[in-house]
Parts: sequence; C-alpha cells; structure tokens
Amino acid sequence: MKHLLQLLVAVLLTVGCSTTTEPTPTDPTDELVLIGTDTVNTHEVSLYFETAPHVGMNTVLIRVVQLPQKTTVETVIWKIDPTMPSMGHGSPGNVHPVHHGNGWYRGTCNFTMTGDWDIALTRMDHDTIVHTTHFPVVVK
Amino acid sequence: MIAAILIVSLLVSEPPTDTARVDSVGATDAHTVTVFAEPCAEACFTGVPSTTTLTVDELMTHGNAMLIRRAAMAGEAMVGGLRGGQVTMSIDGMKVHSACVDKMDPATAYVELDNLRALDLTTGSGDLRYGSNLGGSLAFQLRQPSHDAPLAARVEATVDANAIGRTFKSSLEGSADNVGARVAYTYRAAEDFRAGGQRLIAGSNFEKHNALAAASIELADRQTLQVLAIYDLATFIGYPALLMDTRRAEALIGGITWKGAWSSGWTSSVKAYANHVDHQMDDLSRSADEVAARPFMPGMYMPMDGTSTTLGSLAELRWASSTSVVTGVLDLSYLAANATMDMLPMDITVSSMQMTNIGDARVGTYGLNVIWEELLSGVATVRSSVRFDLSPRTLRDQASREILAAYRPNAPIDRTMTALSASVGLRAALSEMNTGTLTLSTLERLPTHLEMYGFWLYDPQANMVTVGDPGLTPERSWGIETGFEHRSDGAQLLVGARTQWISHYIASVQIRSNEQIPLRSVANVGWALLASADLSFNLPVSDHTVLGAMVAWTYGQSIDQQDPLPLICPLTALVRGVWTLDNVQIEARLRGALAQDRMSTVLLPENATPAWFTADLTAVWNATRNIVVMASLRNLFDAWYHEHTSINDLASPGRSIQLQVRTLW
Ligand SMILES: [Cu+2]
Ligand SMILES: [Cu+2]
Repeated sequence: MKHLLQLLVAVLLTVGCSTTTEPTPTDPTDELVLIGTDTVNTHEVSLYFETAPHVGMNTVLIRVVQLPQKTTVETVIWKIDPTMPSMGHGSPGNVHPVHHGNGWYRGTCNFTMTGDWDIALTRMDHDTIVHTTHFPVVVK
Repeated sequence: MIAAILIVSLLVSEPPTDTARVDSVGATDAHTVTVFAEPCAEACFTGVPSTTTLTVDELMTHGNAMLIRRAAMAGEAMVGGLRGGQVTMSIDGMKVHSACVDKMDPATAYVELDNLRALDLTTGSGDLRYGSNLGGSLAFQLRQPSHDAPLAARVEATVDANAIGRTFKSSLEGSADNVGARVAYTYRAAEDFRAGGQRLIAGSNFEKHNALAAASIELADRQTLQVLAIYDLATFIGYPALLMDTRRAEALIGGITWKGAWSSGWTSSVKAYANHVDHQMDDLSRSADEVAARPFMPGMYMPMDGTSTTLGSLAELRWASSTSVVTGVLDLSYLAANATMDMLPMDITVSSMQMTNIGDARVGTYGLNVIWEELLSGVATVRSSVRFDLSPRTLRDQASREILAAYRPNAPIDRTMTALSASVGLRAALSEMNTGTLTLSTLERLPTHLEMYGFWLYDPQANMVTVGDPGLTPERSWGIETGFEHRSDGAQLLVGARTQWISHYIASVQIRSNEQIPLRSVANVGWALLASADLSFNLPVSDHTVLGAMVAWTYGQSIDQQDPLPLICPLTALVRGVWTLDNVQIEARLRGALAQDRMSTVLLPENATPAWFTADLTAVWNATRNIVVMASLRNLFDAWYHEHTSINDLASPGRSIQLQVRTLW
C-alpha cells in the first residue's frame, strides 16, 4: 500500500512537472542547428542556424534569456561578423540579427567557401562593444 | 621576283589570306585543295605558315599579334592592345571557351601548325563574323581534306636543344570516290627551358598530345559535307609565371559543316559544333617551401578544376554580283562553365576548404552579322558591316548567386544583354599601285562570363583575387582606321593606323584592403583611349633575296583612371631576310622591342620592361623530293629578355638549336 502511494505520488509529480516544463509544440529549437551557447553575466545566448551551415546565405537565430528565471530579453543590438581565420578574410552581405519576437533574433550569415569559420557575435550598446563571443563553425 | 621554295610540289599553293577570308563561304572553299607545298617564302605576313615557322605561337607574332606569356607555350594573343574578351578567337568559326580561370588554355593551344591552312589575323573592325569584338580577330582556318587528293603521309620530327624539346607530327591523307579524309597527330614535350645566359626556368616543362580527324564528302556538284574532330590532351604544362601548373587538360572539339554553291552567285554554309574542355591545375609540383612562403594564400595547396561546354551553330549565306557582295552570318552559341578550387592546408589541424569560382554560368550569344561590299566605280569599294548580338546569361548555382549578390547587391544576375556594332569603310585606288582605306566604326563587346560571374579569380600579376560584376555594361568603342597599300613588282608596303575611344572600359579595381587577401572587383572604369599603328613591307632585292619588316606601335590610356592601360607593347619590330638558292632557303630574323616605361599602376600594376632584341638564323634544305631538313639557331646572342606582355616578367628562351626532319610520301 505504501509502495502504491509512492508510485501514485511519483506519477502525479511526473505529470505535473511535464505539464509545466514541456516545450510548446512550436518550439523552433527542434528544427534548428545549435552552434553554441555562451553565458555572459546573467544572459544566456544561444546561436542557432536554420539549416546546417552551408556555402552561401545562412539564416541565423539567436535566443537570449535572462538567468536564472529564463525570461526573454528583447532589446539587444547584435553585430555578426564571420571570418575565416586560416585565410584572413571575411564575407560581405551579412545581416545583423534583430529581434523578431519572444526573445528570438534573426539575421543572415554569408559563407563564401567551405572550411573552418569563426562567427564573432558582438553585443552592442549603441556604438560601444559590450561583449563578443566567438563561435567556431565548420561549413561543409 | 623571288621564286618561292616549294618544299614538295604535290599540289598548288594556298590562296592568300585575304582570299581565304572572302571565300569563307565561297564555292572555291567547297573545293579546297590540299596543300603539302609550303607557301611562298614571303617576308610579309600572309597568315599562311611559312616554311620556317615552328609553332602557332610563333606564327601569331609574325603577324602583329603580341603574346601574353605565362609558360613555354600557349601564349594568349593580343591585337592592337586589345585582349581577352575584346578579341575574338575562333577555329573554323567555332568558339572554344577557356575552362581555366587563370587563362592557361587559350583556344590557340588546340591548333597545330600542320593542321592550319591560314590564320586570318584582323586588326581593326574588319571581322565581326565570329563574335562581337573591339577590333581584333584571330580566325584559324583549318585545312580541309580534299575528296580527290592522292594518298599522302607526312612525318615530321623536331628537336630543340635548349629544353630538350621534342615535337613529333604525323598525318595521313587520302580519298576514295567522293570522300577525302585526313588524320593527324602531334606530340609536343619539353623539359625546363633556359633563358638567356643559360639561366634555367624551373617548372617550365610540358607535354601534350593533339589528334585531329577530318573528312570531306562531296554530296553533289558544288555541295560538300565536312566533319572535324580534335582531341587535345595536355598531361602537364608548367606555368612558372603562375602559382599553379596544368595537371591535365582535355579538349574535345567537333563540328559538321555543309557547304553549297548555287547558280547566280549564291553560296551558303551551315555548321553545327560542340566542344568540351576539362582543365585541372594545381600546385602539387611546387616545393613545400614555395607553397609555405608564397605571399598569396600561403600554406595551402590549391587544386582547381574547370570545365566549359560550348554548343554552337554558324550559318553563312553569300550573294555576289559583278559589283556587290552581301554576306550574312548567323552565329549562335551557348556556353556552360564551371570551376571550383580546393584549398588543402599544410597545417592538418585546419579543415580543407572548397570554393566555387564559376557556379554554372550559362551564356547564350546569338549574333547576326551582315556585310555589304559595293564596288562604286572602277576605283572605289565601300564595305559596311553590322553585327547585332542578343545574349541571355545567368548563374545557375544558388550558393554562387547568393555570394555574388552579396558583393553586388544591386546588380541583376539574370540578364539579357545586347550588343550592336557597325562599321563603314571606303577603299579607293589612289593610283595604279597605291590604295588607301578609311574606316569608321562603333563596336560593342559583351562582358565575358569570367568578368560577370567569376568569384575569387586570381590575378598573378597584381597578386590579388578578383570578383566579377554581373551588372557590367558592355564596352563600346568609337574608332577611325586608315590604311595605305603600295604594290609594285613584288614589292609591298602596308601602313595602318587606328584610334579608338572606348567607353565603359572593363578592368579591375581594388574594393577592400582591410583583409589579408587584397580583393578587386571587375568594373566599368570609364573611358579609355587606344591607338595603334603598324607598317610592314616586303621588298625583293634580287632574284634570290627578299627583305621584309613589320613594325607595330600601340598606345593605351585609361582616361578616367588617369593610368596607362596595362600590357601595352612598346614599339616592336620584326625584320626578315630570306635567301633562296636552288633547294636551300636561308632566313635571318631580327625581332626586338623598345623599352616600355609607361606602366599601369592602378588597373593592373606592372613593371617597366627594358629594350631587347633577338636574332634567329634558319636554313631549310630540300634534300630530296620527300625529305626536308631544317636547322634553326634561335636567339643567336643568347639574350636574356622578357617581353612586356610576359606575366611576372617570365623570361623568354635563350639560345637554342632546333633541328627538323620532314618526310612526305
Ligand atoms: Cu577562405
Ligand atoms: Cu588553369
């Protein structure tokens, strides 16, 4: 009987938990390619690509949440700058990510060739650099 | 008048170049005679290879073409300061597009001298038959087998002491019933050559094969079907002036032509052709030290592969009366081109890379050229020529489109371009022996697929990479040309001068300098001025001796950029003396150029070039009816020099002895 009670409690707890933390059916991260996550002060920044990084124009998505509550942050100004360190060049036509809803930022990243790239993601405060995170990417 | 030495008088001589051009669709061409006999040893350039000419490169320089040299062979021809897409190059009217993005494979590489009937080398607006150009055309006319030729074989071997060069040529020709056929094979190879002072030019060795098969079928009276196939294979060509060498290059060229002549002055021909070029180059033959330390993209190997496929059709219709000749040429072609480059870092912790240099470019060029020649009176002829081109073009590879659009956000990638060119010329007899010509022209030429769609194309002279511009405007030239001709008792004097103003001149300009790799973009850079003049004469001085000379001068200036145009030859001269005695012919040749110190510093930075001259001495001995022996001493004084148009000051060969034995059966 005691075991049965424990089991019931466990089931209820599981159901309860899953109800509160289950991702919404439209959670975009299911479809995205996570490049990396960086935590700066209380902000957790995740960089995603819409598809696996490829030569040409790539749609990039950035998710920013405030820790520990994970509330969305919607006012960040980003600069994105892909470079190929081994050759010392970048690429033109990149579009800096801007907020488009619910803590998600959308931009474009241009890779002109396959190989090892470095994406410098810079948080700006007007014209001042707040912080830059480098995300290595292998373009295939 | 000098009696020309006929090596073997199997058949009659070739018509002169001018006739060959006029008869390009003519009835006489449908019955082209096969020639084993060498043409008259005139000291003037006729376009027909002379006995002492060894290669197509050499032949082009005997006309007033200048060669951009990157290797021991396959020079890129310039005419009157025009180059690249400004000049039309064709083989029997067929366009063969480069597959190499570094200009290693001009179409001239596929033409072997013994397969050539004549080179129509036109400076000025005179030849728009096979493509819009800015006033330069090299039309290679191949020999066609005759349907009534006797069985004949020819074997030729040449050795060059300088580079241990070996050339072996063989051909077989014959006919049965109404069919004539000819097959020919050429093997050419050489080790590294030595420039003047016996300085070794490392990495200049090469090896290539060329095979040709042609047939001519007489379908009916004055109707002929001609079939041509060329296979060219280079197994290695060293490019000491570049970062890479040709590892393997294959070209397959084929065409089928129907020619007919009709009563009342009508002649016509229709040709369908296709060709495919696959070009592989790399730097794997370079030392690790060279690759690691070179200034441009150090520390990685860069194999590249380029292909071009061209489909085309050429229809010519001609009507001639006693006072008029009207010719229409419908010139249709379609190009598909691709090129990619791998980058393999010597540092194995870095991933290998690949980029697309030409992402499936498609260019259709559909042109119509109408030429009308009218004899006004007994002494004057007017010649008018109009050419219109319609050219849809696109880039099919999606990633390449996106990348190019990032560099050129406002330029449409899919375009339908047009070009309209026209010229009108008057040719008048000034006296019995003197003729004058005056031509006015406006010519428009379309940008090449490399200029529009090329991505990261390396320029070895400027040591930077160039990105194409899909938004380019065609170049347009406004020109005036004058000529004077004197002919008397075998003597001949030709003088020509041209001036042209070119709007929307296409060159490359620096666009970004904050990266390790300097980047340029192809662009329309405003107005340019190009002027050229040449003089040639042919003077018999005795029954056995003829003297000839050719002097060419070119001036080029970018007006908007205030920069001399790059790769402009200084005053260049060729002097030839030919002595003929019984069965021996001796030719002395002097060739040289003044110094060039007008250098481009903006459009294509280049160096000054000192003056130079070389002397050659050649003897041809008609040993028997079937055997000809030639000995040639080239660059007698072993001068160390390079031409101004040699990329990265690539030196020309020093002293050499060449021996050739030719047998004909
Ligand atoms: Cu790179
Ligand atoms: Cu190449």
